[in-house]
Amino acid sequence: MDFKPYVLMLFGNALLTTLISAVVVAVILLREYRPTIQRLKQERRTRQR
Amino acid sequence: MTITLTIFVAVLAAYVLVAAGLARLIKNRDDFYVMGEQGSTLLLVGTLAATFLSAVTLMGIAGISYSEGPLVIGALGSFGAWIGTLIAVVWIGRKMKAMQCRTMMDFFDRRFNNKWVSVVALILMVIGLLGYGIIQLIGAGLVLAEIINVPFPVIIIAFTFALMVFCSLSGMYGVVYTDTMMFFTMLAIAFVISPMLIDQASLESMRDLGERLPGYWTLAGANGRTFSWSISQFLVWILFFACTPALVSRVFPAKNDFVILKVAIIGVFFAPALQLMVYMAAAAMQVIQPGIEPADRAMIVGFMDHTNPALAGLGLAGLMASIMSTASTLFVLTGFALARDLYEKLFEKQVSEKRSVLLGRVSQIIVSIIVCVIAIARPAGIYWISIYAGSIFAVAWLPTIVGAMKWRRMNSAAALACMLVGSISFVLLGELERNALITLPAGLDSLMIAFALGTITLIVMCLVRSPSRYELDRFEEMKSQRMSEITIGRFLQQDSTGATLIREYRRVWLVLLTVVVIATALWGFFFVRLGL
Repeated sequence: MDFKPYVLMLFGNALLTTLISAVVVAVILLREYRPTIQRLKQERRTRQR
Repeated sequence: MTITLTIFVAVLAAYVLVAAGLARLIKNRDDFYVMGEQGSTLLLVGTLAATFLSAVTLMGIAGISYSEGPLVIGALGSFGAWIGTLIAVVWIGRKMKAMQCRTMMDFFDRRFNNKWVSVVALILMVIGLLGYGIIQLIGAGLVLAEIINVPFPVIIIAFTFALMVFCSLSGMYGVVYTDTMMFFTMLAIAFVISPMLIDQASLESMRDLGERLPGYWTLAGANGRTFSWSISQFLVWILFFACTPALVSRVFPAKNDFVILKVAIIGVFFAPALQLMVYMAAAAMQVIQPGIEPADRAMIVGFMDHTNPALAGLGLAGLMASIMSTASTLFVLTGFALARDLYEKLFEKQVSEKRSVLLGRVSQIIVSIIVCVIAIARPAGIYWISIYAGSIFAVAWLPTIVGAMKWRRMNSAAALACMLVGSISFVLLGELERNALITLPAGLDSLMIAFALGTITLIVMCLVRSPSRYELDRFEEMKSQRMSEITIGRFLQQDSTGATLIREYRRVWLVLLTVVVIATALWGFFFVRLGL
């Protein structure tokens, strides 16, 4: 096996870009939307009961 | 009529027809400038990716990938561009959208309410957009003229006529819809033509290129570039892309925050996907046909000589798309700057909705004529301006925008000083270096020094001068404006049960996970085949 670290850097950075964007979006969803979503879900459950 | 000329005419006609058909959607100024904020995920991903992939990728960087190796720019320089794009969308664009900005100039006007700041920002924007756009149009137009054997002035007149129709008849609608059409031709280059060329060459032969051209699969490349050069490329591209109006303004037509978040994931995935597939295909061309001169024609030779006629036509359409999508965005923003930011706001003209749209259309026609004349005449000055044009946003705008968004002490004097010091020192250093009067240390770019000087000036000015009451109020107001709150409010207004909001929230998670899986599979495959 002939490991080429620079090739890992090329495709690793491409993957890292997607991972960073995913983490940034996940943080926004969790911090800015999740509390409202949880509250709405709770309200719906209460109404159903 | 040759097949290439037929494709050229047909593709232009298709774009013009679509843009003309969209003109009926323009009812008011919001429709003209931000598509009435009705941009969907597909449209915004299309316009973002199409604007991102310019002729520089298909020709210039593909040429470097062909002759020196795909890692030379791809591994760090392009990585900076991808991260810069993410910053432009998810941070700067999203924040400006929350502030209800229709153009980036709105941000400067609202944050500082200072005519000098607005005038300097506007001048820099027009120089930056036109200088960068025209030089791309000239460079790619010359190549296209040679391929389809049509005189260069005819190509430029045809392009600018098409751009005039997109931009003046249907404003942002025309640009976004045609960009999305162009995005599909670019996808065909990346995911149909490039894999075919890679398959023709075979991944094993591509991997063995390192034996024929030592350093081909390294960061230094076959020409042995220094590590500091690669680092400087990363910094230059991240600074350039983070606040270029061409990318930031793609967010303004978004329907809601969920669209922006999905664009941040999908659009930012397509930035490396489109580029790296092209760079890999350029490396494949080194196996298939070594010795192409000049190297920046490698991909064009690949389309024309190593695929079937239908795919060659598609490749040509993709090349045209890469020129036009970037140019249309740059020119539509210049037209907006003239009509909205200069005439309506700086001259404080009160105009009706109808007159505002008319004004926008007239300014697009004026911009098209100016572009056409300069591109055909090709004065020496435009080449000089182009050296500095694109990067002016990085040195002059980026520190100002970041300071204005994050620092309470930020004031108009600091903004003005930062923009002037950043841009003037950039040009001055560049000229001194170009004329061999100074030599910058290896890996240090004049852009980085100018960026640092502008930032230091900004910090000093903020420390010595206090912000006005207006600036403090705007800062507090800006902090309270959040895209998420606006979106939640709108969704709950339409559906008080919250079912639609919950569904959209879940969709973003689904998109996020799907794209992560696709990216892992795609880049993992290439690494296993080429890196092990």
